[in-house]
Amino acid sequence: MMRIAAVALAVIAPFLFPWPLALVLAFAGAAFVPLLAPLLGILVDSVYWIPGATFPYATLLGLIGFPAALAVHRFMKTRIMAA
Amino acid sequence: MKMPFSRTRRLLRRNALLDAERGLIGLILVAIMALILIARFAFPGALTALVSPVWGAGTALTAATGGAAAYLADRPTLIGERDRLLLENEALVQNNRMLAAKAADLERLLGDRSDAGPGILAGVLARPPVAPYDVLVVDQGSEDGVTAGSLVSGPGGVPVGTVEEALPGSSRVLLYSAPGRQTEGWAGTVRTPVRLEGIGGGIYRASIAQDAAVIVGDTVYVPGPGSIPIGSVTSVTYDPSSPRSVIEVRPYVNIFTLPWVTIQPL
Repeated sequence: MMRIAAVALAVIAPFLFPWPLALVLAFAGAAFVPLLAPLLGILVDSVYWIPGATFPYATLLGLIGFPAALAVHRFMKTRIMAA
Repeated sequence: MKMPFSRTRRLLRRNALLDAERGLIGLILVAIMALILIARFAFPGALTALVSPVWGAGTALTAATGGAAAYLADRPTLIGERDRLLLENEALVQNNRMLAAKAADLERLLGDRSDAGPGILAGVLARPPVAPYDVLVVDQGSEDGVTAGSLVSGPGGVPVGTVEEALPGSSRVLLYSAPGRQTEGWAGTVRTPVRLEGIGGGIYRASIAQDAAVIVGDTVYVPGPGSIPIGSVTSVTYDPSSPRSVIEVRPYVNIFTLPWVTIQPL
């Protein structure tokens, strides 16, 4: 349930909340589903990014965040299994 | 020696099921990513149209929250605010009468040039801080006559940016305050030329000679029909080791609450 809520909140956050909060929620969601990080990065840049005007930082951040989210996810899984 | 082997087999079997499920989720997410990318380049307006209701809900939610906060404000504060607004309103009415009389005199002298210029009124769907990169998403697009490069103005005709991407039913506007964006302008009463550089969040920064007569509160202008005021100087930072000082400019238009903009087609 918590996993679904975190993922749903992370997906709608870029369209409802200020982007710094959306970023935090994206990483919280990515801790449950690591692939969410690049997915949200691509989604944000698909909606807001203007080609040529700026650099697609959201996609870059998503790609960088993916291994980090994967590490956190594995750590969380290990903790749950150990408990 | 046999025990650990069979346990490993058991664990592997269990993980194989888990991995299959996880693999399926991963595959679905990768497929969604591919779909988004295809939609972004093949149907550029589709994603914006899909997200528009969510933006609308967000705006309504913000307005409702703001209204609730005002309702919960304490009584003396509200009475004080009402008294202040009544006084302000009285002063503005007097000022308006005076300006109307002056405008009528000037009209008699110069003729009527008060017709509104051609422009497309567009509602703002997404604005900072929800939209990153200092970008506005507006609800008028190429189907409504918007073209890339069109000038976008806020309330009072204050320029805020230009249309960088005109999609069929919406457009993306890059604000002058977008990080790294440079705009030529003037500052102060003597109109010192400045190159304004956006630093995000609606703020500009510019470097000027230390002996330039620019002080806090001075108006900053950008080229338009004449020179159009866009903001005022909020700080002037002097560095003794540098012949130049840095000014920070806050715009007159609050980009965080901008509801409508006017687009001047090319």
